[in-house]
Parts: sequence; C-alpha cells; structure tokens
Amino acid sequence: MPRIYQKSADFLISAVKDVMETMVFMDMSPSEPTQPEGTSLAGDVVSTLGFTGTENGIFVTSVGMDLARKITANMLGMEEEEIQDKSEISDAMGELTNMIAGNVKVLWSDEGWEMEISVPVVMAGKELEARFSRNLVEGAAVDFVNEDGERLRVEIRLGENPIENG
Amino acid sequence: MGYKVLIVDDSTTMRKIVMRSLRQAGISVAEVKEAGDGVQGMEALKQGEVDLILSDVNMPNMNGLEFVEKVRQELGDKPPIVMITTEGGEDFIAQALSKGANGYIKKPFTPEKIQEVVGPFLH
Repeated sequence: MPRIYQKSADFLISAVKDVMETMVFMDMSPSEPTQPEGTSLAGDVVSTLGFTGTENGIFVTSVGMDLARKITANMLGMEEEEIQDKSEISDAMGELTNMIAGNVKVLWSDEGWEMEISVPVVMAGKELEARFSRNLVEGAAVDFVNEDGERLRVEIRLGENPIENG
Repeated sequence: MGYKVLIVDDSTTMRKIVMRSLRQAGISVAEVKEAGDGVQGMEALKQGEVDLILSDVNMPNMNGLEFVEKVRQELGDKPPIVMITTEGGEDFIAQALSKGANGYIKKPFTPEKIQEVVGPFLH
C-alpha cells in the first residue's frame, strides 16, 4: 500500500478527533482504516471538498441527519430542537469538513507534501448518494462512532498512481 | 465596558462559533458586526470604528489576506486584526503578519486560545 494512503488514514484520524473534541465536544472512536468503497458514498448530509498539490483528490464526509443536527447544535452552542433549518446544518457540516481538511493539510505539509483545498460543497436531504470519478476510488476511509453509536464517515480519495514515498 | 468586534467569515456557522467563543473567553462584546467576505468587511468598517477584527482567510470576492492589506492601506495600524483560519503553515503566518495581521488562531480553537491571542489587544 502506498505510504501516502497509510499516512492519510493516520492524518484523518488525528484531524477528526481534534476537530470533534475541540469544536463539537464529542468523542468519536475510529474504526480501522480501509480503502474507500466503489465510486459513491451515501448519507443524509454529504460534504465534498477538492484538493490539489502533490496529489489531487477529494475529502468526503457523510453522516445521518440526526448526527448532523447534533453536530450543528454542539458547534453553535444550541439545543438540537432549535436546529430546524437545513441550511444551518449544511453550513455547519461544510465547516466541519473544511476544518478536517485543513488539519490534514498541515499534517501533509509536515511530510513535505503540498495541498491546496477548495471550498466545501454540501448536499443535505434524505438518503443521498454522492458519486465520484472512477479514478477517485483509492485512498483512506475511516468510520467514527460516538457513544450513541452514530456514525461519521470520512474519506480521502486520491487520483491514480499516487507517489510512493514522501 | 464592551468592545466592538467585526467578524469576517463566509461561514455563518463559524461567525456564530467565534461570537460564542468570545463570550466564553470572558471578553465583553458590546457590538458585533458580521461580514461574509472582505468586501463586506470594508463596507462594515465604513459604518463605524471597531476595536477588533477577526477574519477568515479563504473567502470569495476578497480573501482574508487581501482584506488585511486593504484595511492597513485605508485605516493604518488600527484596529488589531487576528486571522482565524485552517491555514497553519509558517509561510502563511509570515505572509499574514507581513500584510499587517497582528496574530492568528488556527481552527479548531478553544475559548482559552481566543483569550490568549485576542486578550492582549484589548484594553
């Protein structure tokens, strides 16, 4: 497995735990990293964020609406019942994805890899499916689960033929 | 006594988080102006002075570094400007400071970090 995949998985875990604990006040337990599955990812709130640099690819996050609402409420210091506007949830999840990607970017730079990240794009609804190009099927995927068993999936998908070494 | 603060960020979520964090940091805020990008930020500054500016970097129309530069060109070395950003590299920090930013806070951040960085600029 190219070193960049394993490193990316480690960076995802570090970034998500840091962001979730600091800004969302939520402890999340990571699964063992795997490869992303296929060319799509389903969820109620799916956020994607592209990047270029040493490698090109995308960050993706996916959650159910209940967890998205909880995350939004915690970030804003509000009660879950007060979060009714889907645009509020979309904005919060986009910002979450942005912070995760930003954290990974700093960790990448410590390895000597460059990364410029784009603005996140968020879809919010019911059982949505984001589809990706066939050359974005490899990278790292980690499921994070909170104490209520709710899942946040975070993926970094890289283009074909990534660099083997830093 | 309360401070007048301008928060510049294209994310409404982040603007609310910053406001909440200022309160949790024990900073007395009398008035908050909000702007979604640097252009709106300059418009907000025309409406009246502020004691502190907190600005994101990656924004449409006029990004944070362009905004800092513009503020310094038009208003001089006040008010203090603190960047709040996912950008944490030394190159970025050097660039922001050279354009006139007074400090930076990397996301994610705690209220304690807000107090540590912002506190010295408020009297």
